[in-house]
Amino acid sequence: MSKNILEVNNLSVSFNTSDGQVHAVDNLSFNIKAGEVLGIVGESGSGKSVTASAIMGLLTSGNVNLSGSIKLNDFEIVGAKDSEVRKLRGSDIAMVFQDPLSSLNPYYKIGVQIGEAYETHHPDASKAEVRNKVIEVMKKVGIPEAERRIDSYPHEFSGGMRQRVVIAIALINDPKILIADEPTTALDVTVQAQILDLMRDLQKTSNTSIILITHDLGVVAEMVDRVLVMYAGRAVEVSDIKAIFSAPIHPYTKGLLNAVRSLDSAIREKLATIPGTPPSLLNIPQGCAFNPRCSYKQWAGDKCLVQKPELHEIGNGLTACHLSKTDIERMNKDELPVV
Amino acid sequence: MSEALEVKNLVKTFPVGKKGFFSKPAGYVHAVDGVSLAIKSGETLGIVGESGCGKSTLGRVMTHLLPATDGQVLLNGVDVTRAKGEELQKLRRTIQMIFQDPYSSLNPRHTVGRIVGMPLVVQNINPAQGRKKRVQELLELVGLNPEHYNRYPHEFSGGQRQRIGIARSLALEPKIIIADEPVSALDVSIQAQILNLLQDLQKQLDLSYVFIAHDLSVVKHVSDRVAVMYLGKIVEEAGSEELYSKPMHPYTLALLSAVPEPNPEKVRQRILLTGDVPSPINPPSGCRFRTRCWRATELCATTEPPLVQISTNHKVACHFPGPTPLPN
Repeated sequence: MSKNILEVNNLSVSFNTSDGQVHAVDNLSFNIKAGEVLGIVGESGSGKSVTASAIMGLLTSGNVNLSGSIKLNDFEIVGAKDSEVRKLRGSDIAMVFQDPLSSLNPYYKIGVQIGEAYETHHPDASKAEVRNKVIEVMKKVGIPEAERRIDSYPHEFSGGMRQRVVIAIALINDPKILIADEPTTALDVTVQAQILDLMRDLQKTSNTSIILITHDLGVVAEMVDRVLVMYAGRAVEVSDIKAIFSAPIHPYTKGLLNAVRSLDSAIREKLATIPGTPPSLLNIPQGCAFNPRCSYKQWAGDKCLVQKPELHEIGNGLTACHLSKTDIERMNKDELPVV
Repeated sequence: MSEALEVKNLVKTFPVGKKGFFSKPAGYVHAVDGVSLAIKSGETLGIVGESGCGKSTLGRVMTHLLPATDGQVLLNGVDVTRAKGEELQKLRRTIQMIFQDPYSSLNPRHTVGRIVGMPLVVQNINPAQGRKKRVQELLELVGLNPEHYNRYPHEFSGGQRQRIGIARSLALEPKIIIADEPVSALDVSIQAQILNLLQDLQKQLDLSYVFIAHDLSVVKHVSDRVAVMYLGKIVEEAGSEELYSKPMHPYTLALLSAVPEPNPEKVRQRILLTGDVPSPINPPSGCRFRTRCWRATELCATTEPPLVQISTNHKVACHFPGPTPLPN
């Protein structure tokens, strides 16, 4: 077993807003090994992107309350000086954002923008060295005619090519961890397939760990080794990729999987739904945050209404659900009656 | 089944690169270029394609939110594109639209009651039970609480807002609804709720849908028939079962193979298309897909393949149609 490269322990993030305290992440713990691809899945407002920002050390403004620990190779990011985190950001941990249109500066040539990431961490590098490095990484991410395109502006690129530029910026310093926050959501299906393919190839050749944040379970199924499912700021399930699709151990994961359409499903088939809507983070339900939408809560008695379930092991996975092991097994065989 | 809506040779171009007021435009974006379609009553026609293929423009021209450059949109035999004034206003009652973004398609300063009731005001319709009562019925129909009549859009979640948009589109009791990416802005668990609602309403009110989306699995779920668009043209059209089991056009094959499947155990052969969609200002000669197609020959560069019937329920526009993917 390889060593954990990143360890997140009891991470909590809340924001003070004029409407009250928004609890975006609540007591989240997970880790990632070298070369592993971890998927973080959840709906909007589940805390996925805030978790990414916390790992990048970007939550420094005055209205943020941050507690817990984020350790990258024994370096503690929570509470570290900004100058220290800055050394890691873009070199050891890099990030790919969702929208390639807004994550590039329209006024600068893409060569300058890719090169900036290198120069920041290699202040002594000569101009020629930076340029060569940029061309090399552009080739690596599959931008054709890199020698010429290095002097193009972002608007001269298509969406897919822009996302390759963003990936090039992230990869130029050979990061240990790449955080990709919805990297293909803004792209068309055929382009999405190209980008996912690229990320998979790069991951295999460089052995970089990837945290892939997405709401698309199809993308998760194709890309990741292990999945962390989040709901209302908490981890509700952590499982191996195959296990989560064949036998999820949390009612929310099960509901999510049922609601997903696939090309295999029948035409005009009625979809299973999760009733209700995700809760407001200003006002998270007492006990288990999922209880108002859960179809199985009567099987755990009143516990769901009063006590927050903690992550515990069931089989090879972790679940935060009050249901007993036998009930979860029955749920997966569809033998556990729903309300 | 009778035809509820028929589109004949519809063309929509937008001028680009106009320098001065009197100068001629430098070129035209051929957003929709000779599209013919028919929607039967009670049927759902899915239109799929990538961004820039003209699917949204097609929807807007069909509802006459944009004037057509050429061609006809026939609604019960009347050409919508030529209709004006009172006649057009009457036609609008039969065809309504649901928009993609439930955040920007509802006026934040209007109450839900006003938003949903607005079509009645515009069309000067006074239902027997009164407008307020009618709006409350509509809210109930789409699964909202009629007591929320006086609330504002910001008090609702994305899924609930989309329900408000649906209620508004139903206010005039239309026969046809054009839904332009109605669920793509919503979370997965909410998407399923809205798709089910649309299907229930269709049965209840005998509606025809034109369902525009980029997501092939969503389209499969709701459609009886599917048309695939590429650069302003329909490249393949077939019954849903047929299209998904026996796709014939190489673009459809590639599109289907690119969809990420929520099944980690499934091994598929993926067709990776090279490059991006060409610019619709200067589309490639002959077949528009040839620049990305692995079957393309010289014939494809010179002659545009017409959309031809290959079986009762299947049309394809390709010189070399076939189900087996053979990319090199």
